[in-house]
Amino acid sequence: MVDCATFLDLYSEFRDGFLPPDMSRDFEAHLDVCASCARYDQVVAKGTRLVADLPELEPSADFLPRLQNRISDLERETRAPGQTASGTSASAVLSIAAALALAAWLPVLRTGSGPYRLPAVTAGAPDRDLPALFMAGPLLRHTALLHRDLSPAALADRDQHLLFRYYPVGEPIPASVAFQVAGR
Amino acid sequence: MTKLLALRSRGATEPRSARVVLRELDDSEVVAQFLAGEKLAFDELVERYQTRLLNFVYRTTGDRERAEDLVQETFIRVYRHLHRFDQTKKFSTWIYTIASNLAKNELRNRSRNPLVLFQAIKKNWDADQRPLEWEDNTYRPDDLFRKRHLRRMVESVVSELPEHHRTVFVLREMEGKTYEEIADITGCNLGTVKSRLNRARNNFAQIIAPLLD
Repeated sequence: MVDCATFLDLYSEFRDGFLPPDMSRDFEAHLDVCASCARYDQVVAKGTRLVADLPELEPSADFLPRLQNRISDLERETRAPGQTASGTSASAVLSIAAALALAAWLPVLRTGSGPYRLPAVTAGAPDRDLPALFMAGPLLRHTALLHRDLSPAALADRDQHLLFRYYPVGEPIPASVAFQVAGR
Repeated sequence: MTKLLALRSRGATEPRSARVVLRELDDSEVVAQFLAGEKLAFDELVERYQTRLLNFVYRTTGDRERAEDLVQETFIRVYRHLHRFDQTKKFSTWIYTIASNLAKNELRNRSRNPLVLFQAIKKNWDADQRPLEWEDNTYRPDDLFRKRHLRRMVESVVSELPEHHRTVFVLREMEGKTYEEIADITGCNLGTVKSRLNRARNNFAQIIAPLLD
């Protein structure tokens, strides 16, 4: 025999016909003897009938035109998936970007990767009063010419190098300046 | 489907004739037509589902204007993703699932938005806490008024059900969906559908009972 708790627990399945036949018969029998469950069954039946009979809403008049507009927009996007808002295709944009990059790098590319040839520098033998001309600028100054022999023969000697020692402006130049000859 | 293909192959591109043929096809055939490039097939799907979805979403959300927007969005998603739809499944279950998810998101967003809290509070009222009231004989308006009033009250009672009960209840009682379809649409297992539907009916009965006397 079915009690009220079981009846209420399985009521939906009973109502929708999903209970096994023998159980369903027990439920029917319970309805005959239990006024409260019978009342419950009537309320659900009547209430759900009212729900099913509620008037249907109809879509508003602009529902379809609005939807069609949105679908048209979608179709346009689908037809030209690579197009931007301006109508220029993505491939065209990429081509322009590549052309601009090429133009910017062209001077470099044109010279190739060979060694750079710098213009020749000619140097002459300094005069004796060279130190006065060799002031190196506002921040550095140099010592006197450090080479004793400035004759063309001495300058032509590749083992000798004229050297200057530079000091920051404001720093005293030592009294005995160094004389360096490379390679010696 | 064969009829429509035959019609098209004979050069009958008259939309009216195509629509007539589409109307005779079942959902899966209409879907196949759309995927084969028949644009009118989508109109046919809209025609079939717009009212049903509008009512379902409206009963779930309780807001007619938003329901229309959400149904529009449902169709847009169908249009976009129909090629991904598993054609071995029921189209109606798929489209209801989309609409149901959108409605669920709408309710979730609404509950976070204090501007619409009034509606949300009313709808989230837990009917489980209400005591059983079977007898109420104080209400005796005349028949016409009573009928109209009853209709309003029934709508109100449905909207008062907790959201997860309401969706299951509407799908079963108003849309006539099977338990399996409801499980697919709501993403719940069959046991959950059964228990939710049972509780929803129980809540509904408790609220509607006094109005039926």
